[in-house]
Amino acid sequence: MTELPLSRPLSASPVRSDALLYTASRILTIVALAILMGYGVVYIAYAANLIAFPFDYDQGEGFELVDTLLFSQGELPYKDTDVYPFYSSNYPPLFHVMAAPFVPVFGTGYWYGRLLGFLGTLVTAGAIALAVYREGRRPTIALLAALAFLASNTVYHIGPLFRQHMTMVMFETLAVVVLAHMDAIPSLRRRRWGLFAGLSLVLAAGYTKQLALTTALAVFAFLFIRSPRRAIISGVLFGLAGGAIFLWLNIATDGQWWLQTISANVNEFIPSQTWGLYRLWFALHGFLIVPALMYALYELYFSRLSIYTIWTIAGIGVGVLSGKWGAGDSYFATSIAGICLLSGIFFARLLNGDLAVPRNPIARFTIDPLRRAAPIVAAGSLLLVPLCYIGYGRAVLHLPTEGAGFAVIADLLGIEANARNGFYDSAGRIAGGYADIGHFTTQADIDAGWRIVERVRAAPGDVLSEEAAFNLLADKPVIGNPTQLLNLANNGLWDPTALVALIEARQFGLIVLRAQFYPPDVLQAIAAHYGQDEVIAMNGFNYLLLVPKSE
Amino acid sequence: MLLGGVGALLAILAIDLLDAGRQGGIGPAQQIALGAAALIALVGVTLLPLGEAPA
Repeated sequence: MTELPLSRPLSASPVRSDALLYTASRILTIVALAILMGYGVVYIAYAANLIAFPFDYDQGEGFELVDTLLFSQGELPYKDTDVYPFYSSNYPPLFHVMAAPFVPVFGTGYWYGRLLGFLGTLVTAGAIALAVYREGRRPTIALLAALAFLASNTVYHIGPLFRQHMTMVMFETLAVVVLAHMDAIPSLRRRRWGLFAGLSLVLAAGYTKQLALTTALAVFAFLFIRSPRRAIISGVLFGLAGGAIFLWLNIATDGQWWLQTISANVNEFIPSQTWGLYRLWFALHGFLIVPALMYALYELYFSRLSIYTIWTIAGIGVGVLSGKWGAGDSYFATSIAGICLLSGIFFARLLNGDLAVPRNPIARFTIDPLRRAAPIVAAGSLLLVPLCYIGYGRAVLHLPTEGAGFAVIADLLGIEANARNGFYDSAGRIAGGYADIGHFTTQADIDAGWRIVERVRAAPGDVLSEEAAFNLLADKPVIGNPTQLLNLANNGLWDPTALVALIEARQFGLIVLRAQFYPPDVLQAIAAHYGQDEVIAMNGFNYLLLVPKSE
Repeated sequence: MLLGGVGALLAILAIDLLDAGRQGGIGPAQQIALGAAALIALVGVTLLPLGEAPA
């Protein structure tokens, strides 16, 4: 079949205009690099700030720490929530297992989980750069693609949290990068090892967070397209390995694994949240989404589908689940990795002029009429590619508006804080489910956190706290995981009797509320038997401290 | 893709025909799934002119 390039290198163009064009392209590329590296600086500063912060920053981080502490003691965190201390985890174990070795050495702390999350995003960015470079041999584009990932508002604000989501994305990205060129390995033995490594990474992603199921489906769709027999055999072995771990966890926890991580995760679906987050995702990342989708269409109609394309489409599809109660923009993180990778490959290949288009019926109507414009496409791409990254850099604008250096930049850009603690975020929190974080913490926040810890320490008996840090730092047991209790209650899987009885008996010396995510029965009991004693603002949120009402 | 998309469309509609859904009617999640299945089927149709070309 005859193949012609969609664009051609510019060598056939007049020398002088070429030189001007290349100079303009270089200047624009430097500007794009400077913008995205600037976001890298903001990201590192934010990560350093969070790593030094000793309390919960994002709601529920402390319970990830509790899971880690339990694993470090050889305990599984999937427990019966009907009995004291009513605690269970709803996440798979791998992230917490990775963090657990830090506990015997450094004790209870948030910093190592946040550091792991942050490093995971750097590894993901590195994998994106590697994939883009491997396909296009253009180091600058590879670097821009990696920086674009780190510059995403979503990646920025969840990357350095004590949460497993970005570690899942890291495993997913590594898996597809490992599997992408497996068939090109000449040695059968090494090819099998490549397959084993790639599928092990998919399994690792799945046991980091359940959402990686779509990556598993994408990977096996790719394997099936390339070799149905191999896909079926490896799929059976993969299923056996994954199923054995699943079964062991379920038996070891007397069925709590299934109840807490699967049954409890069926939550109310809010369509408006899904649409809002898709709109936001496109508004922020559109400059890379459009090229990524163009490359996907190119592969679909004029080449062969790569694992990157199938994975990216699956990642975009899984964004639908962001409308679940408790879900949010983090559900787009996989797609963001995918579009950064795919758009990077598209840009690199476009600049190289090696997007060959076969003569087929689709090309006859879509590409052939444009073939004469190939030199213009090539010339235009020299400017368009860096302009896309500059446009993306403008769309994802986020930075503190206070503090040395940042205040000057904010003034220059003419932006004012639109979020907590003097922070600007172009996402604007216009969609439900967009995480209300990203701001830096202050010394005043740390002081406020210690005041709450002192109150918890001074309170008689147990303390019911919506965030775990205060109890952990006051050496008191952590009672319940509110969002998990709510998940269970919403599905009719939790009996609140025992916890409500303790509240009615005023057994807790203090109750600390932030978002009031407890199930309604618990909140009603609290309202009836406890009264507000103090409000302490920390990290932009009001923490309500409640004491037992007098009889 | 065409067969997959059409099959998915029928399966999603069958949820209501078989009364497997907890609530009557086509819910928002089903609507999204139907849209996705229709899109897959549509893309499948556009691939027909390519004949035996490997995916």
